[in-house]
Amino acid sequence: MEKKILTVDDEKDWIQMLAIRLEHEGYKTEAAFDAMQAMMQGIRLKPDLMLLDIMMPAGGGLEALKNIRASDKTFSMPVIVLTAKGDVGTKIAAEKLGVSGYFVKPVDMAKLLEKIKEILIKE
Amino acid sequence: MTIDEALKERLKHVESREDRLDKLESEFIALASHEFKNPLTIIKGAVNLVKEGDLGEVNAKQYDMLRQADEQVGVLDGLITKFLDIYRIETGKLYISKKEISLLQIAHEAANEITGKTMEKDVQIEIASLGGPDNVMGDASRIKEVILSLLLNAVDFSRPGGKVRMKITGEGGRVRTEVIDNGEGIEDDLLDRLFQKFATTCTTNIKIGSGLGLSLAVSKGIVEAHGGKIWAESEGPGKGSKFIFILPKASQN
Repeated sequence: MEKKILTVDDEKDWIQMLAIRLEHEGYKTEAAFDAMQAMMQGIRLKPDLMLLDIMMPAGGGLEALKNIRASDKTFSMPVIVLTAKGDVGTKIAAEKLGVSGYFVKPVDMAKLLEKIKEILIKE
Repeated sequence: MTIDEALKERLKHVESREDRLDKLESEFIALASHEFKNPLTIIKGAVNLVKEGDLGEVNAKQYDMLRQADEQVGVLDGLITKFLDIYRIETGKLYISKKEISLLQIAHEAANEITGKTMEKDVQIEIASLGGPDNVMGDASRIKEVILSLLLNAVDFSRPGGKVRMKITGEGGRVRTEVIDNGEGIEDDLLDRLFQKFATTCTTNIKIGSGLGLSLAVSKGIVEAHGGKIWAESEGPGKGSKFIFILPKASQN
């Protein structure tokens, strides 16, 4: 079955590019543009994977991730963080909340696609 | 209010001001990375989409242009990262996550990462461990960054067919790492300035390392954050150069 990926970022151009690339790889994509939408779409659409930005309006990605892990509908959802924040503190905070990958922007697309494939095969 | 109380009150005020400054600084780093890196992400994403043919067929010439654009985005990204690192170093906010690591192993990893470059420049890298344990307490990725900077510089300044030697020696309570090239050498008066920001060499008109001479300044910050020391030696132009850093041995920490 077609795997569904929810991309969360306030940069709409970036989401659009990700979508083109992911759809070429045969994935179905959905989008959310802030932390609140990420939560709601996560519960409503039950994606197989979420690609999550950290610096976003309405609470930021870490807050969204906390809420995702706290909800019984989404607690086990694999999440890959894609962020401009390269500092170790943010990475550790994200890893504590359970992430399957952490990519610093500008993202190496080939590596990201490889990671996505690896996670979705396991699912 | 007694003098003691007044002093305490004053101290509290100073502390809260420092807290605020600290917060401002971390916010600056976060903002700077966000504001610079997001546009880069979009540029890289767009270039890659076209380059990889996701939006239609691309001929060889177009592909090569897009590959160059993509590479330069990488250069710019590296520069921004270095600027942020300099900022972290200068404000004492460089985060070092220490564990026991082998310098020899990291040296080999670093050398492997730049085989493309060494082949292109026809320069050989030789790594030797000269006895004694080479384990230090360090941040593997940061130490690798230092070794990569030194190796890349040495390769850059070597002549085709040249050799870069790396010697790692455990001696007393520390481990000494030397990167030696037989390249263009460094003038005396430049040796001390090399590790300052934006240092450039007058002899060759080539900037030291990639990125405005920031690499060595970042390397110095990293080594010093580990309680170590880094410096350069050269017998003068044409006589090659030697970059040395020492780090405390693992058992000493």
